[in-house]
Amino acid sequence: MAGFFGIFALLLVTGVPIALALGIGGMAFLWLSGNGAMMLSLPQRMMAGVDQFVLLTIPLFLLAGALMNVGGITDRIVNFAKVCVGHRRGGMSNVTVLSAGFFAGISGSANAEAAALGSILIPTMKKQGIPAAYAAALVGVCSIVGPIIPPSITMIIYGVLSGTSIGQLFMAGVVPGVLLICGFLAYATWRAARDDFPVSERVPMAERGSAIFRAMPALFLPVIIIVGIKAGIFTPTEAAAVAVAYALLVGLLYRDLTPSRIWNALVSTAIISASILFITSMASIVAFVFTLEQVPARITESILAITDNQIAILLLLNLFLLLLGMFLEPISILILTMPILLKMSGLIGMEPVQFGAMVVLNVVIGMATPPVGIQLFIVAGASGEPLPRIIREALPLIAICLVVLLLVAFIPALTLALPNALIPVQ
Amino acid sequence: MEAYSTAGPSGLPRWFRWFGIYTRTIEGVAGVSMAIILVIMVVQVAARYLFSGSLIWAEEACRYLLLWQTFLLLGVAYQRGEFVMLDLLPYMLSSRARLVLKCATAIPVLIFLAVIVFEGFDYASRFDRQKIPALDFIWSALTGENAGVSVKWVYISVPIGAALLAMHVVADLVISAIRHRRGLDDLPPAIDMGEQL
Repeated sequence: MAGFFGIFALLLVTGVPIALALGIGGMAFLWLSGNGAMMLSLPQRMMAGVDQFVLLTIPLFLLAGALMNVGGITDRIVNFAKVCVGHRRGGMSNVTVLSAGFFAGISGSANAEAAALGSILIPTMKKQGIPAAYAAALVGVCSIVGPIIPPSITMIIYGVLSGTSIGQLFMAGVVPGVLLICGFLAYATWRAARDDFPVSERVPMAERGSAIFRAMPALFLPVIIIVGIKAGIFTPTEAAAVAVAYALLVGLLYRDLTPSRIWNALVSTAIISASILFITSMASIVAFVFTLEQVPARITESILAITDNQIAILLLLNLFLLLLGMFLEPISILILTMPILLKMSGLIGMEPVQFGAMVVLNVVIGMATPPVGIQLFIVAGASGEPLPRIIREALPLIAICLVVLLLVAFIPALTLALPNALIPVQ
Repeated sequence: MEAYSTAGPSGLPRWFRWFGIYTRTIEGVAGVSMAIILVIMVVQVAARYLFSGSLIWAEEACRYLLLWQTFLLLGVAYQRGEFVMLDLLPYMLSSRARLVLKCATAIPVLIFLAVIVFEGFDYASRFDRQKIPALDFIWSALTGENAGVSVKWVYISVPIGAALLAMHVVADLVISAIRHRRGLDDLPPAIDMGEQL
């Protein structure tokens, strides 16, 4: 086991892509543990890691987000957010937070959200006199609500791996998502007052109506998805296809989508999905080798050796996931740790839906945490600001995420009230 | 969307032109495959509610398309710098040391990919006799006979994808070496996802 982590870490710091580092580490572990004859299982695991119907949600939800984006939805969401909070001090920073919340309802992925919002909002904030590093950090961290507010690719994967209801998980994400947005808004307001960001004009009354009207299709998508899944009209995988069809329809109605834009969205989505699915295929090699070597059992034992206090285990688990989240992306963490997670959820005795929401929130926070916080890299690329400055600005925002994580872990009602009210447990 | 490694077309070897044609072909195939997946799934939902019928082969067909699409695109995704990596250390090194490091790390990568290629072909060939049910369904609906295509042709996507990826890794090394000799800087592929979507 130490051999695996050693090799993995060495490859990681020398600049080998994470997916390949996982695969090579897995292969080396198999070989070192004397199972070299089982190399035939490597391609088999690689295929099994991709050959799952539910994984189709990754390209499809990404495609829906991409189509909405090239179809001008991002602009409409930003305009709508401007109507809501644009007139406050440091208006654009508030607009960013709110846009992230609305955008989360059409995209299931934080990367896509940061990329889409970053390209529009970071320059606008700079123009308003908000420091670029802060603007970038705000977009990067706020975008993690993408996979918290439904639809969420990460929650679908969690639901499938653990056998938890995806509809309930989606509902469970709503309140934590809103809490995160409120926390970010509060920070943005405080920050605007402290640094005396400029105040901008109120949007004229006439423009308000049209901004709201034009944003409606985007705000309506999560409703369609939740209602559709809840009413059993389509499965979560099909919901992703429905989301794409809806995005196409809206884009064509507003005449924002051209054939070439649609084609570019198809190709770029396919390429990005390939790089994500490559990670899941490599993670499934490692998961296989781990199971072979009974790593989950050993980790559970060593945690139990430290403590058998439920709260202590809960905190240890959160710490463990946060640490993993610093280096890996959410889906591969879920594939790697699911056997451990299922054991832990038994030990802690938490409701499966609450546990799922907590785990997803946990691994998603990792996306904005250095050193491999992909969100920070994306906004660094979009803003041209040096990474260390963005990281410094991101730290208070990450602290807000951690507070929400603790609330979710210790107050069951935050995650359970909504799913229980809307989808009665049979 | 310009990949760092093809940023300097100035006088790269002639065979790199073919590389571009190949890249565009693969991208075209992937885009079409993505579109087919989408159409099948939308038709599936519509068929169930509008005509209360169901396409029994839909799920399987989509999974196989996704497999081929994913593994075919690995190389292109690598070339475009879409693979997430930690590039702090390479970034701090001198251009020469970076090239050496790149070559050194390519060794385990290529060994791994070679294992996947060989074992993958072996694995796929063991399924020679198993047929693809989805294709049989479609084919027999059209012609009344089973298509009888082996599932091997699905499984073979893994070794082929690994081989293409290995080719891109080698091509990337060659480009880096050429750029180094000409005194051009060769930064490691940044995680440049900002322009993805």
